[in-house]
Amino acid sequence: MSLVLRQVSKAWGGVRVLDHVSIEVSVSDITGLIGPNGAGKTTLFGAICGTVPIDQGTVSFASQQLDGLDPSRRARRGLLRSFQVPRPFSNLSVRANLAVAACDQVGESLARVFFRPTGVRQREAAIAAQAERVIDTLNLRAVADRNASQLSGGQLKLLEFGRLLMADPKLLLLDEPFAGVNPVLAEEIAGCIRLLNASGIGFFIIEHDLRALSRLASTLFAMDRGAIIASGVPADVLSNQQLRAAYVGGA
Amino acid sequence: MLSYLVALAIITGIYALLTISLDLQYGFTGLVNFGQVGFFAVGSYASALFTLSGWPVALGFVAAIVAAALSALPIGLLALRLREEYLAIITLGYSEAVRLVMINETWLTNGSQGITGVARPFQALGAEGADLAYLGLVVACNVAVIVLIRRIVTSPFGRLIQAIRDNEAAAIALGKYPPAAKVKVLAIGAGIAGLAGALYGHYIGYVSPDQFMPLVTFYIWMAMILGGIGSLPGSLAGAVVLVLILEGTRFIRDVLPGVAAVQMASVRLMSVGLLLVLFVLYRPQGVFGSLARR
Repeated sequence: MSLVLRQVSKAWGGVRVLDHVSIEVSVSDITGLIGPNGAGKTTLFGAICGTVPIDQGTVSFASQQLDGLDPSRRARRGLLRSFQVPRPFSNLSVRANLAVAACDQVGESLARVFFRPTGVRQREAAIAAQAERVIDTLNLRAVADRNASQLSGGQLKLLEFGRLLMADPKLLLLDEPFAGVNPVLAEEIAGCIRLLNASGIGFFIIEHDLRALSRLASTLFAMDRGAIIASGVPADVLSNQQLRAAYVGGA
Repeated sequence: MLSYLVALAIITGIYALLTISLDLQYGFTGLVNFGQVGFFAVGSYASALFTLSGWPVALGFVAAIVAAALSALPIGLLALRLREEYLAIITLGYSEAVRLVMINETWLTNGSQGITGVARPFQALGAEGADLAYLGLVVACNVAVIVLIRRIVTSPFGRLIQAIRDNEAAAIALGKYPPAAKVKVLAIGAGIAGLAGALYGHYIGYVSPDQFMPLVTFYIWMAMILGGIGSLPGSLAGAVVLVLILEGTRFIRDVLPGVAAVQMASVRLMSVGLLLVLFVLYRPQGVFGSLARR
């Protein structure tokens, strides 16, 4: 199963931010996406998730075309993303933040809340148990009852990661998971990513910490000015001259 | 004196319903509804018209709830796909449109003269007994609505709407579809405002367009802010404080010499505004604390 982009292009005004991007990301791998600021990496995530409408090309996931599907439907197919800056539900507790993210929420139907409460209670119990497992995996037990607004930056990164896990993901798109995170926590997050990948969840990761990423990923894509300029195993991509030139700003 | 207090309690209860309804929409879901008075008006007129055409009062109340909730649907479908500022403008426009229809569609609404002779229930109990019984009805409606809303906000649906309030983009990225939840909240809130409208019409016995000025919407917002946004006890407290201010400022004239009767309305508004400013400065979380954990 994989995510496949064919000739995806997008222009903002006259500026081409995605230029005939064709990539394939397998859900059994950890794949990295690197490139200088403004290369179009986050826009590419937006194009995959449906928040950025594309001008040309096709996006498909698990052999099904996603074009025309709104972002929430794409997420329900197991294609989920994190944001550069975490977006918590600030006035909800950590537990509630996690519970919201669970899928198949029968209790989000008011008719069932009022007329089929038993089914809702059973599903809620299952969601609560799932949330407890995620709390343990991510070491959030000490803050589980706090409001998200009271968490530190690193804890918010973990919470956002935990929410994605609750949503039954097949492929997780992480936008700079190590940015602004201390080395110990970064190692913890990397450990989680490896563990989850071993359990069958794919990862597609934007990251500027090339060393951390090359230790984690089996494949890298490098972007510059909206186009893929290199791809392959990390060692080869990182030694690519065009990429080095793009990063130092020369040519 | 007793009948004055009963009257105050009835008006407070009606404002409380309007405030709770707005709190569900804004406090719990983040919907900026600047047209609350429009739903209130639709409820008042619906019940007045249906009962005058021979329906029993109880069915008039049901008609008020249904009519107000239905009138919210097209607004929701129009506005909820747009950014939240648009909902504010559209609801404000809606409430003014409702008032203009009431003024101009004289065949239905009797225009600016309004509709008189709206049935007043419990008259068999005598004047004071009827008012007390009516107060009982208002209290019962408040209890029922609070039970209903508590059930909603503590359910998984309630968790979803609070998540949408806190960060809609994150909710979408997790596979949620906010427009559906928002339309439901808007319609439920409108239905409650419609119920408040029916209670008001059948208490006063008369409905007319000038009872439904945009100022009423802002009184309700004020009650919610004073009480504490996102708190049901806060909504109740806010309604009490609001009515105390609106009534209490009547007596300003006794202590403030040289204020003519016509100036009183302005003095009242000024003091309400001053109090709001003081609250926002010194107790922004309201009486009960904004978004207090429930």
